[in-house]
Amino acid sequence: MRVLIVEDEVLLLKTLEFKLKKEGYDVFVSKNGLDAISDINTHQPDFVVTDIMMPVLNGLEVVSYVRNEWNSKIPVIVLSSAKHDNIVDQAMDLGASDFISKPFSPDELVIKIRSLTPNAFKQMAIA
Amino acid sequence: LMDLQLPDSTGQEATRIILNEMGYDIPVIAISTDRPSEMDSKESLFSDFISKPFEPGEILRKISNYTRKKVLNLSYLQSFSEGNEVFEREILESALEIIPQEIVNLKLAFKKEDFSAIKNISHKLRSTYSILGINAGFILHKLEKVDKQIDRNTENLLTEIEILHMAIVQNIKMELKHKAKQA
Repeated sequence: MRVLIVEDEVLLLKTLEFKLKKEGYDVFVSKNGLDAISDINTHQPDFVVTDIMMPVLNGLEVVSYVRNEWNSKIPVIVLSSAKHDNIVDQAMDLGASDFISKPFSPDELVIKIRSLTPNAFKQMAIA
Repeated sequence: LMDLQLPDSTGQEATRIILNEMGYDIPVIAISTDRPSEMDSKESLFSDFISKPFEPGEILRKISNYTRKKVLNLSYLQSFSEGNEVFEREILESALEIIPQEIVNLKLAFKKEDFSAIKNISHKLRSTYSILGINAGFILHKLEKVDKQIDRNTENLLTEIEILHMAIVQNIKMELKHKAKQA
């Protein structure tokens, strides 16, 4: 199962990458929303984890791209600081599947992702 | 901090007594209008020198070079790494590049009064600090509020962040040294 992580802060990006690789996902990373658009087309991810607050092209635009231009129903999880409720609402309205408030524990991240990608785990278990 | 132009004994003499006779192993920073000639010698009593007159930020920066404040807390990172030392080192080494770079970016944003850049940087710093376990919520709160003008207060905030980042770099270097020793 292929996941694309979109995050402009390098330490968090590396941490997410490390954790999801360990969980058995094929991980691709984009350092901003603009890269994410081309990376989505290149890597054809099965789900996307994206930060919301990013310069150039933000996470809302990534959600909108996946749902409208790319016309896909894949799970899109947005990352946001707890204090930006309003933006999380906007992301959900645009079709985000769920959100995770920063800072999050490794378990919180894994549980949320597993719940949105149940098929992946059947496949991984069989493999 | 030792002023070298004291009325009764000289600052040099006082420092010599503190370090050699009393046996204190502490950094002494000389404050003087002229750079003391012995600063250039290896046997200099002084760890550093601040010339008069000085800016408040300058004195804080110099002091923070010699204080060993613990600002790093790796328990959050460790909850992800689960003992993977290679990953922890990679994160710390990346942080060594990011932490000073964000000061450069922030200074530039302040200079250009680019408030949207300041907002982006403060947002990124929130994640950076959180991974490194740095408790600086109050500083970030103040930084996020910088959206109208740059004045003396915001300049002081910049200095405060700069000093914090110097301490973070120092902590990370020590942590990496410690890890290298263990390996």
